[in-house]
Amino acid sequence: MARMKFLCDAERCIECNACVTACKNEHEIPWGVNRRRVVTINDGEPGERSISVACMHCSEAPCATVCPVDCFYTTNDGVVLHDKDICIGCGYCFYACPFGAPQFPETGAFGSRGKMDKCTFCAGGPEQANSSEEYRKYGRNRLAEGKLPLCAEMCSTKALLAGDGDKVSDIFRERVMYRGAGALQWGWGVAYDKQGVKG
Amino acid sequence: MTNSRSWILVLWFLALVAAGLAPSSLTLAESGEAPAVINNPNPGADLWRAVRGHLESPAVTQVTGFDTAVLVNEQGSRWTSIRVNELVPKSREWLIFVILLLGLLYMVAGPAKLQQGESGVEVQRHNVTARFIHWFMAVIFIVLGITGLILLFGRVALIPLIGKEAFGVVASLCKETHNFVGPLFPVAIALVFFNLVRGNLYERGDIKWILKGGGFFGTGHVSAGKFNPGEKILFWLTIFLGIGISVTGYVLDFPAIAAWVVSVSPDVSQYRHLMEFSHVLHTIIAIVFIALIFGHIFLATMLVPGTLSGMTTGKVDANWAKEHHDRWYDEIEVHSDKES
Repeated sequence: MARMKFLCDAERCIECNACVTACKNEHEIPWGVNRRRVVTINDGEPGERSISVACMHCSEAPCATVCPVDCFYTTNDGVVLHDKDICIGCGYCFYACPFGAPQFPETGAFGSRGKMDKCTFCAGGPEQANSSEEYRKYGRNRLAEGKLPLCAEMCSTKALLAGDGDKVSDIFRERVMYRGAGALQWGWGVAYDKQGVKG
Repeated sequence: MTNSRSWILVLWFLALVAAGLAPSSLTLAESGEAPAVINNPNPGADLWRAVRGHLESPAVTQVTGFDTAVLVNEQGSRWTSIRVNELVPKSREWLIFVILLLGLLYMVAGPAKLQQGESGVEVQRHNVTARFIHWFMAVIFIVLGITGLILLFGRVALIPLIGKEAFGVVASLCKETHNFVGPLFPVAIALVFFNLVRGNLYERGDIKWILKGGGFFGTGHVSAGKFNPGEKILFWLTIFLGIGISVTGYVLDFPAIAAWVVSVSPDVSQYRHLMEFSHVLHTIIAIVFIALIFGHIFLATMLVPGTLSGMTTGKVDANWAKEHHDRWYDEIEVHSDKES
């Protein structure tokens, strides 16, 4: 079985936010909820880098560990999903998550937290694949259709990779070799003065 | 095992640094001028340090919301570990310990019998206002306590019994009830404070009462006013634990408050960190509070018979008043003499 992983190549991401928009459109995500977001470091300065981040589908997911109702489960593809029929919208997964993935629509009374929503790796939820019920709660199940997550599929610079971890690693390794050194070349700043990546 | 190995690594590294430093400081002393500092920028390390939130310039994102510009929340896993490995098991142990302790107290001290029996004459102890306020707080406390304990222990205690689907419904009800009833608790705290504070200030003889252990052990008579020091300790703990649990509860219940704290406090950088801190504090205070109220209910119903009627009908037996609250009894006797 494949082990699904996301990888964002910080050397390539141009902060176009197309992954965010594609995700919102594909799954018809409500206002105020963003399953994916792009964060830019050192914005407007030399060394500026952008990274697209969503649920990383952790091997030992802290959200699943801390959930008081135990609504998370991991699929055979290594995708971390949750059951919205069990979720109570307590917000603990948001406090625990390293990546800020869990989102809460303000659907409860007086705008309190509704049931949690997060990136599903385009793999839907526990309902029958591609049923209208599944689409309403979790969005489209592209994995069941034999497709990969849309955010990565339509990334213009192919900075965002999604798929089997081994294949994603192979692609990234090839890129690193082509660049000639590490992902961001350690020591180049000293050895070659301004010819390093920061120059 | 891994821990000791990492310590050895750290020591080895320190030794290496010390060995490296020794000759360089010698050459420094000889030449008398500072060596040129090699600035070794490591773009990879710099980037990943920035990703973890250790930045000079803040990260930006177009997505609005709580902590959206933070790529990695470093404290989340620690909080998860505290909740799962510390709060849940230790809360259970603490509550079991307190119940066993109260059982032991009952076996040693037994129910406190009135030496002269019941007189059949009743005196007024708590008026309608005091009783209403007491039960107002009690109902809120019990509702919050039960729903809170279900949310804390449900995953380990209830899911194996009733399954995830059924527990999801129960937990959802508990969460909503807890969130909507909770904000009333500070109202109850304030009412109890203003209603009972006058009788719960320090009086002469309180120290003596405490030194005698409240009269549970031995037969000596222990003098007390309307409220004995034990009840005063309960009162003040209720006020202070109540304030603590209300403040942390309001932060957890109203994200807007947390967002405001983050915006004004330089020490709190992330909304989530404040929530994690409040959650741990809220749970600890709650468990101590519940243990305290276990003790209160146990004393008022089982250990000292005749006490409960003071809070239900408002009247207590005259002999109960004489033996447990003699100075208060003298006061009301003088008062009623004047009236008649």
